[in-house]
Amino acid sequence: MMNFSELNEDRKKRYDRNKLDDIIARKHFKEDAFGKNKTQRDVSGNLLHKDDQAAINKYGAAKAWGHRVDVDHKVPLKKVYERGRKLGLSDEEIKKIANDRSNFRILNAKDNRSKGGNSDLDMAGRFLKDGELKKGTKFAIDGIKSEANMSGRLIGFAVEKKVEGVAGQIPGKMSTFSQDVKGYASDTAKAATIPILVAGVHNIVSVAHGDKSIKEAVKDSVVETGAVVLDSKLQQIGVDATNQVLQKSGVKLLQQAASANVIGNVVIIGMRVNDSFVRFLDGKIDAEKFMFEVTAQGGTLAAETMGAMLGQALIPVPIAGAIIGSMVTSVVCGLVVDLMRTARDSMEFVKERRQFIEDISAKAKAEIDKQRSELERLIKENQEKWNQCVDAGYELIFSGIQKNDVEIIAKGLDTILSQFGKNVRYAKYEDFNRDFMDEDFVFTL
Amino acid sequence: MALPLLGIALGISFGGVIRDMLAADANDAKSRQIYYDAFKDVEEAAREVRTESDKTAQKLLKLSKRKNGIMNSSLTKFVVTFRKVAKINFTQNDLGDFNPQAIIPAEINDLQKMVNISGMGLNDKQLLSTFVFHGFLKGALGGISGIIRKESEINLHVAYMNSDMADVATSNNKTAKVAIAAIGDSADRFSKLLANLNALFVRSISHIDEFVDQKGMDRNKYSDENKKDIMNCFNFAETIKKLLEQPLFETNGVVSQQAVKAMETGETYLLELQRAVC
Repeated sequence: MMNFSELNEDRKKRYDRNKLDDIIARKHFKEDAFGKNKTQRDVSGNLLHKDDQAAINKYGAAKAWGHRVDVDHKVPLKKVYERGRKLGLSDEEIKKIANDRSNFRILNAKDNRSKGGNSDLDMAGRFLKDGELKKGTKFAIDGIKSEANMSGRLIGFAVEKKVEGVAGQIPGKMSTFSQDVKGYASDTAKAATIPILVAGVHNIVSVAHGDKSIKEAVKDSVVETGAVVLDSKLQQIGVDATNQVLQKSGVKLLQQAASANVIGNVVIIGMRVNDSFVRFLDGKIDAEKFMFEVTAQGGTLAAETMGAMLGQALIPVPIAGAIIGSMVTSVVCGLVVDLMRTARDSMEFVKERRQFIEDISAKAKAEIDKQRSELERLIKENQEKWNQCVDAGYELIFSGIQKNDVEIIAKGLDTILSQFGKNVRYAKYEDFNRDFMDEDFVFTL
Repeated sequence: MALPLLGIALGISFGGVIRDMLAADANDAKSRQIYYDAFKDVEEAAREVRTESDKTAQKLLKLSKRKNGIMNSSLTKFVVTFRKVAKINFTQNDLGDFNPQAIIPAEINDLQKMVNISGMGLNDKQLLSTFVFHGFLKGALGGISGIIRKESEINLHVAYMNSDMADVATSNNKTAKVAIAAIGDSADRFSKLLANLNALFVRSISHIDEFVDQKGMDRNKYSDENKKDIMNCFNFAETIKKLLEQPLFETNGVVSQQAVKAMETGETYLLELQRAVC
């Protein structure tokens, strides 16, 4: 029997939605989301009416649920609460994080109430199973993003309080490893996400030790590693960490998995998803389709290849293969998406640059040709002027020589100099004679 | 079960790999041809500029020798003779350093720049492909055939970019050739003009030298005919000296200015293009 004080403490620790929900914040979010509009579409593609009565009037009371507005916590309050408590956060801190605008979205009341305390990934699985591929993919992408965002915020918050506290959540030898891995990362954000990856890998270890059900581990691995690999800078660390944790697990199966070279599988999966990759680069499929294909193809092959490799050694291989496969797929998706973005950006950059260079080159050639033509024209003009002056000058000089007339010769020399804007000083004999006969006169040359 | 599936998967992948690799090979071959053509054109234009530059240098050397020869022989002899009859203040101005680089140094240097810029494209291409495909997991994902094909496509784009830049460099080389040829042509014309005038000048000096020696400083002894001959000789001396000091093209002259403008236009565009690919 607990005493009053213990009961009170226990009550405080229990999940209380009313205490964590921020109705005013959600109301403000709804106002902002609609702005001056009366309708908006949600992630499910449903047309939502800001005014419930308008939806009822238009669709009738029963069908209006699909068009009435709820403000949904993308990552459910309960999940945020559970994770926050594990990280040692207070209710107030959890409330603040859970009700951040980044965790809100408008959603039709039907889907929201059907979702209940489930995550987007749960919803995605349900939609995909029902054949609603587009809707499922949207929820999957939203889910991974919001999970990543929420994990980052929760752990970032906790790390700010005390990074060591986070590492302490990972039991035993994992704690030491997480400290080692943190050495890779320099800033708080990176340090905050590493433990998630390690915890994700730890799920596999937990299964091997029989501490966790396979279903729980697969789900947790996908969510948690998915959150990590979204940060491309951490991908390589993630791959290294995966191998190292498997090696340090003390479980023979997992050590063999590490020895089998998970990275090698990355290459094989990369080849398998290559067609999707190229089609995306060519603009034949959009990002959502690409993500869907990569996940489907990569996941299948990851499980197959890991199963094949591990199956030679140990029995419970398909199980571990599926878990590792899901992890590898997460890593691969992150890697390929990042490579895809880089390559696509580069291709677009190159195309754009080529167009720019084509344009500039055409303009440059036209301008250079024009300038050269002008230069050639001026050179020709200069030559003609030269020839005219020199020929006329020669003519006068020889004429003057024949006539023994120095003034004509002077005029000839003057004609030659005229093209440089210069003249002979003595064009007339009388000018020369005057200076010559002046004994004090000094000629200058 | 898993291994056969893996085999099928890899088999399917290999079909795509072969297709990708063939496409990549075709792109690479085309890229190489574009590079070959572009650099052949640039090199041909640069070679023509070098040939023209050598020819012009020879013409300028010839003109320089002629100018120095006239200055040191004909003009000097005239001054010596003229001083026998009158006072003369003779100043020997700088005849200039007659080599192509002294006349259009910036333009000649630009030729070297142009060749360098054309060559830099290759480095840019390498840098670009390195940037795109070696950021992470090089050697792993870098080996995927589709990515190789994409890389070859990027390289093909880069090859076209280099080709365009090479065209601009080639065009600018043509301008340089025109400018340099004009200098050589002008040097030739100056040489011929000076040779012709100097021939008449030498005869004129010899003629006055005969009677100046006899009549000396007493100017009353000189007839009008004598004085006209002296005037004629002085006018030749003055004309030739002015021609010796005359630059091939006035710095502020329209031809020089246009030559500089044309070359600077090319240089500006080439630098802009260079910046665009960096």
